Amino acid sequence: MLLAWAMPMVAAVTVWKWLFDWRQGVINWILVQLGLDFDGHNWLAEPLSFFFVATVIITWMSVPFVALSVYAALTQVSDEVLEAAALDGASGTKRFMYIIFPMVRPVISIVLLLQIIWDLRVFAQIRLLQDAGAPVSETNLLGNFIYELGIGRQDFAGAAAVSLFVLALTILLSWPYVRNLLKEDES
Amino acid sequence: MSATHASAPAHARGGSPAKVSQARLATTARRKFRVSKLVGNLTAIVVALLWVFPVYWMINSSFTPNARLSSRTPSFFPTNATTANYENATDGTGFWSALQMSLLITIVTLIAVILFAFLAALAISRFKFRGRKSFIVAVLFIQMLPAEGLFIAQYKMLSATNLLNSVVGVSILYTAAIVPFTIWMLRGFVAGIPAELEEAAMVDGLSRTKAFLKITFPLLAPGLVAAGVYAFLQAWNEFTIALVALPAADKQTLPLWLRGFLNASVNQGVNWAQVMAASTLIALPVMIFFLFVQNKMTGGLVSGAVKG
Repeated sequence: MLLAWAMPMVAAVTVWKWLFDWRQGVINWILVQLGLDFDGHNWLAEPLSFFFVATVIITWMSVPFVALSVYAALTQVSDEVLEAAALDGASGTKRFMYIIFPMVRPVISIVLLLQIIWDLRVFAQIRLLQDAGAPVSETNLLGNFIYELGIGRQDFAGAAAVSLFVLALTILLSWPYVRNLLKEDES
Repeated sequence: MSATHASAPAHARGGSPAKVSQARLATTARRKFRVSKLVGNLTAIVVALLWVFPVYWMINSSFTPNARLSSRTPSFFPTNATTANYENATDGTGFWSALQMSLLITIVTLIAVILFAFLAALAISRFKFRGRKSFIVAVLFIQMLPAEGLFIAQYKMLSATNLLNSVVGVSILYTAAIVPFTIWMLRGFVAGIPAELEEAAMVDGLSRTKAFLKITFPLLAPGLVAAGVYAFLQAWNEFTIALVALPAADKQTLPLWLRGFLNASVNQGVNWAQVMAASTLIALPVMIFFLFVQNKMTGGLVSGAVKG
């Protein structure tokens, strides 16, 4: 897990490109062994499977951070409280719902906020995957679209406008969490 | 746990049918518990494998001769392992100059980030001043700006000041990009140290500076380590800003070099063995470094980021 988090993003994407390689990639090989018709299947040529691969990679890279944070938070939940709840007759599910979850909630919400921020800004992963010959215009995310507008077509004003749009979108999506954080700050 | 509690007295009394059925219920519950534990463990193993496999595959491929990699069936173990891929990857393709660039930039960024973030974190959690709250909100929102939107401005600023393709230019951009999150992290640490400690030391006759250096600073050390590790990882792995700020081929950082290395061969069939060797070279220092500091890092990250 830790290895995945420490892995430089470019290296990670490169490895995944190799895993999904259409001629010699392991994933195609495994699928063929399972009796599926994936011989020579090019994952990156179709927008849908392109995004599937991108999702796999981004998930692969994000999970360790979230897992570690939540794990660290779980170690803060004291055993005494759990035991007390068990003695009072709370079942496993109930203990999770009413004790464990509320205690780790602050961590989960900040991790959620960070993930929203980071995932909305995904750019490099897509860009690197596009190097493998994917149809660029159909596989652009917002970040790549901005890059293409600004650097590619020299439309600086347009790129800036889309950036502000992304900023607004991020603020909108993360507003509840930001407000929570600020409220905690007050107290 | 509750199952054992219930079953013990039932066995002891051994009597009425109601008690016996209760005991039986308890054993089935325990068996269920064991099965679910088994399922849980299996899932954990599968997930762990999913996460380890790509890393393993990278290292495995990097030691395999390319001819073997091109065969239809993949080889899961590095039979007739070779280091030729590493030699080819580091030979004359600009690896060493890229390594130098990466190291320089990382060190400069690390120092700058720690310095700025530390001072800013102290300021926002120790002093009350006008606009403190809006400063905190600004720090958070700046992180949300898509980096691509800043490219053009950054590029123009750098080219106007002749800082394109220079260590200083990239380091400034990295510092600006990393500082907000580290402020956010360190702020929690500073807030976790009661100001009373410092005041007590001052009552005992230390000067303000001395109280800070002798009391607060040592207590902050784990937080600084955590922030430092984060800054190191970010600066070492960064790709997007480097892509814009370092257009010259001989001034690339390692991630840029790897991409160039892969793209150079994309048309005539990629030499995956060499590419994997190159990836391993970039990933290895970070991974080794990380294995050493991981425990402090996770603890620090959470306690810092979460404490109000």
